[in-house]
Amino acid sequence: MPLTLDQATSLEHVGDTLYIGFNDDLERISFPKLKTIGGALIIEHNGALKEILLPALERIAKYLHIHDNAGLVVVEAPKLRELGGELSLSGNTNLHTVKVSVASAPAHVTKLEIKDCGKPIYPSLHIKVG
Amino acid sequence: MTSPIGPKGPSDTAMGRVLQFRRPETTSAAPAMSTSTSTEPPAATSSASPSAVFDSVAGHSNTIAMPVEGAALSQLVARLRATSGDHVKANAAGPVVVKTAEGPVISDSVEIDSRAALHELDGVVRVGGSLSVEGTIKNADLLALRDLRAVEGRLTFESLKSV
Repeated sequence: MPLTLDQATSLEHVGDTLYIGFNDDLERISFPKLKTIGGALIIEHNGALKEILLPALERIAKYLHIHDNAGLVVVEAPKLRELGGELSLSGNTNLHTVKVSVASAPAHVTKLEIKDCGKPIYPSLHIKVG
Repeated sequence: MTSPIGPKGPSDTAMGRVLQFRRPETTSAAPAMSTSTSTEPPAATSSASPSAVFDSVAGHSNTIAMPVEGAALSQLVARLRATSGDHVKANAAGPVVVKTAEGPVISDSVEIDSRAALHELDGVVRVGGSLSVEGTIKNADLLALRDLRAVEGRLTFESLKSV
């Protein structure tokens, strides 16, 4: 039976880092009201994970790492405006769609890394480096 | 540079393969859910086990600079997490839930590692410390988090498995 992490429908704020890792049966992550993360967001080594949906997320104080989720297909954080560090996508070999921020208000990051993912470039990933 | 969430997997580019390390603390006899603050001396270990090798390194160095992969990596991460600075220690009384104007609140850090413990979070709107959830669960068990609006510390979902 696959697991989903979409039950925290009221969660708006995490004061420090949000870490989701090594969950073999996890297929879906969705925090519909989450707006701010006071630390980093790290999602790694969730082999069955297919989608990450963060429709309300506006701010991550530190970095965003999405690493080694072999089944991951979709990442969406369309309202992301502020990212304090780097954005790193690595080892998500089936990643097809990444929607982060919007073209009219791209999020600023210190560094962008896309490595060993489904595509080398994601047109809907709207960020400015530097 | 120290990882802001404590030790973790290979995504931590800031540290490369070098994981920061603190001497282990015992967690024996910990209940499913716990809060608190106490510290205990390092656990005694057999010199023949991998754990003992790990602890041996721990006792003589602040870092581990060896490549670790696969299951060993997972075990190492779990172990390092258990030794991180704000690790929650045992308290037989369980979490203290205080009723406030905004709803039930837990002011301390909480570590959940069972389905029963997860249900104790039902209705809680805020956790003042960190919240860690791991173990074997069902999707329905996570509905206990539906009223949670804020976690002031770190929020971790790790090593979750389906029943």
